[in-house]
Amino acid sequence: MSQTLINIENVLFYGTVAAYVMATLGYFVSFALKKENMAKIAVILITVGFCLHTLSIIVRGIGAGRVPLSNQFEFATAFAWGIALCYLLAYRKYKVSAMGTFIAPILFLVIGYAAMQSKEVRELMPALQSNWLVLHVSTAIISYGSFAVSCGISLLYLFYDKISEDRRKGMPEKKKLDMMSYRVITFGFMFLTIVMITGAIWAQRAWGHYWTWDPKETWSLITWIIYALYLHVRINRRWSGKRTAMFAVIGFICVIFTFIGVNTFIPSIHSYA
Amino acid sequence: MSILKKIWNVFHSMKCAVILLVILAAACTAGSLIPQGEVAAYYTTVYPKWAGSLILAIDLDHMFTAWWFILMAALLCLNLVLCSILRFPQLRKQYCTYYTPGAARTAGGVTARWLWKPKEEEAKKRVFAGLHFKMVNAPGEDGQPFYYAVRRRVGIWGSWICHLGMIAVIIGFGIGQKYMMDTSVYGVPGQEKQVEGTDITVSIDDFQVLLRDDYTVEQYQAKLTVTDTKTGRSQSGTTQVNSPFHAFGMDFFQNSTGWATTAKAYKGDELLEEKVLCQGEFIGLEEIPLQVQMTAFYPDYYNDGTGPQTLSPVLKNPVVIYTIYYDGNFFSMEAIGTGLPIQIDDYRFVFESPRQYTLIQIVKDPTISYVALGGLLMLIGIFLAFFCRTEELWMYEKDGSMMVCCRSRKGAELFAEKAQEMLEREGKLLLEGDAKEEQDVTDVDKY
Repeated sequence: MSQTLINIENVLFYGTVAAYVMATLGYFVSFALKKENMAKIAVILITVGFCLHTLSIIVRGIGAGRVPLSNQFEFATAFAWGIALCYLLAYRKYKVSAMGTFIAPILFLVIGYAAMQSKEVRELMPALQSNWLVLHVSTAIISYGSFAVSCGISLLYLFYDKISEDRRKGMPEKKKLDMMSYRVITFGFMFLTIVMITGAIWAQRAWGHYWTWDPKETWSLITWIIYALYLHVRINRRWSGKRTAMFAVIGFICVIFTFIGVNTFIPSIHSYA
Repeated sequence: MSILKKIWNVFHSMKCAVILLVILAAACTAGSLIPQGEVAAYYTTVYPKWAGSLILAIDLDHMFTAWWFILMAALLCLNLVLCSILRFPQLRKQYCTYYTPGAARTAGGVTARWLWKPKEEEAKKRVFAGLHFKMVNAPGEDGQPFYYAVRRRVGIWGSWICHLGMIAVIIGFGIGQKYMMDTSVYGVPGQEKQVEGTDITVSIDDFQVLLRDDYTVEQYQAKLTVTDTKTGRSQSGTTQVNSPFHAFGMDFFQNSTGWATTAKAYKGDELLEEKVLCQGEFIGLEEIPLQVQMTAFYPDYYNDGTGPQTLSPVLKNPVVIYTIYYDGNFFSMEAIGTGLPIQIDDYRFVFESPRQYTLIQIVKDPTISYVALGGLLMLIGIFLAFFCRTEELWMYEKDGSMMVCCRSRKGAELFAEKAQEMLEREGKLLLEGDAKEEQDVTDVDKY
């Protein structure tokens, strides 16, 4: 990767981080000082950040000569991109800027984690030279992004009663938040299923076994089970509200552990991811 | 209710499936955090004594093959099978009879209803069209028009299809684990190996490790000829990582690699033994109990005092670390360059022609297509269940206005919101609807 492209990528990446940090602050100010305009500015900042982020990923892809989804930095930054994308889609659909108050910090933490990783561009190892990589990881980004958004909405739900009446202006009712979270989870759940299926097909092609109980596989199964339980108890046991919101938060903790915890604490054949 | 009946009811209920899923998730968590497949002493030394004993007592050291884990998975599968069988007639009935104008007339569990005054006659059609419904007029016995539409009826099959897929995956995986063939052969180009338990032989025609300029590996490539010794038929092809070679119903995977040399044993000038040795293998002699192991190999040997290492994967300064055993006992361990002699009394050993060997993994899983089908069914089922929400809309005259009703299994509020918006655009609401989630009549405490 040429130095010029590295410099451009760095400028775009740190511009993205700055935009997300400012958006997070904007949401806090809006929430604390009841300034609705600040929330609107924060949405614009996330949109700007998202555009810069997209460009930085494209520049990295051009420089590396491949889809940049193959190491911890690349996946972390793509994960943050997925969160921003899902948030903007959810905002476009539901027009609830308040959920950004809880989603922006998650976005900030994930992009912060990405910034701490080595940004070195490396050639792909043989196991990663597969078209399944693009499908597997890009669906994981959408899935994880959706779960992050549902976690943010659920946190808003859980703190709803602690928010004073006048600060709730412009916020939807709790019932709608619950519904929004559910909808986003169904979207993420379908993508998580695709992630697991594409991962299994890829593992079969690369290693000869579609399932080996590797910690990464096992944790993605645990995450899948948790969200499957969420959907079952919600639809059939009529669970809703606080209990399902807690479920959504726990589910996202599992997502984070699958992504960061497994790579950090448990030896795995997915250690490059 | 008899106890048996109670057990039966619990067993095919969703409650049972939820409990089993929770147990499986907890077991998976333990299985991922506790190192698997270590020797018993590992658990009793690394963990507190009581924890080590517990791990060994309940098989947490080999969680995913533990009898109780398999039992839980089998019970979940059985639960899914029973629920699917019991649900099928209900769903079929629901699919055929529930979503009809006749059923709507007497329908309970309406999501929302409105009393509505349309701007004009055409407004009724526009409401249906605007909500992407195809309306039919099904007048009742009194001859009054009854406008009805339903869409995405197929959505009610979603969870059922998903569970069918899960059953296929669990059963396929279980049978696959039991009956799959999973073996391997290794060797250097020119060698022919027998595949254990079959009439198949694998000839390694060529093996290359393609390196980039920075010495990172670009690809491992092995050219193979697979022969069925029973019929004499052969198939040749290349296997590389992510692209296995398929022959005689088996998949040949390029699994791993390492270094090999040709080891020769002499007595004086007489060649006693010649053998290709891969790392870890021995060359021995018949006349005395002497064995030499090729313990490790460094293609570009370097040792700065911190231990042997290789500077590159290229053969620049090849060195073998060998271990001598006499009568089964360790004698010594040394390093020596390839081609140089190791003299032990009258005997001389030489490691020559270093090259890389390949390990080919051979897999034949008879159930893989069923598992793949199961995965596909799961995906289709999830899509139908959550993104093909069955929705109904109907309207009929009441006191000079129109009574409009909508019904949906999931996402009812948002559907009702959209319907209300459309009604407001095309007329005037006299009485606002009340949206609520409707419980699927067949789904209570089941799937």
